Amino acid sequence: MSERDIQLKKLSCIAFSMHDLRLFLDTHPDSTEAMEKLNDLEKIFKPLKEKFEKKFGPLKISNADNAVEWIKGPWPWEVN
Amino acid sequence: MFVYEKRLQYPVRIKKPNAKLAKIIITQYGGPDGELGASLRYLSQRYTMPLPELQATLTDIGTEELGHLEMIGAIVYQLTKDLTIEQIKEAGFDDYFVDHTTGIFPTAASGMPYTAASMQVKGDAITDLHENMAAEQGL
Repeated sequence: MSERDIQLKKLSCIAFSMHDLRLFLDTHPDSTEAMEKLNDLEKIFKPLKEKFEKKFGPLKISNADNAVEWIKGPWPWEVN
Repeated sequence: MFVYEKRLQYPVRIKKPNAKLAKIIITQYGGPDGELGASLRYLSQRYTMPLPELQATLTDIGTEELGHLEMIGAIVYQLTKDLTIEQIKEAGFDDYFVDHTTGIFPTAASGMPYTAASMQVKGDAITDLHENMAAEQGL
């Protein structure tokens, strides 16, 4: 796996856990336990995401400094 | 509104193309119990949900299903990449290829194009949730 793949997989694992907690919170909005877990993961996620975007480009169009950066591949369905 | 995130929910790295498999997997893209159907089902049913918990859940899982759709699209795309005409014929992919080449078309494995006729939106929470459970167990 390339450095990009490794970083993206790590990022996606944490994002998946966070997403699952958010779905749980949709039906259990008062759960402080789930909220705390989500906040803990957020703290790990944020610097990893920033590191990834700095090196490999923006994950969201709003995080792109310019259009050239945004359109640059590989797009998610492409194999490097 | 929706904002795109430029990554798959889970990475797709197909090492060996397999058009025969793609013909089956594509039903999860545009078939009756596929991800497109799931997404449209949830995102359409959410409007008349009577509780905020349900509105939130259907909005968020309806959105997630679009992420699943993208993974299935990536799988089919990679399974059918760089095929020779011989491989296409041998895999029985020629009937798909004649209409779509290797474009990713929302269709069931049987060749039926995606149709909203395979889902339901009734405006009643219990009825809609039952239909969702049936669809989630569809495979």
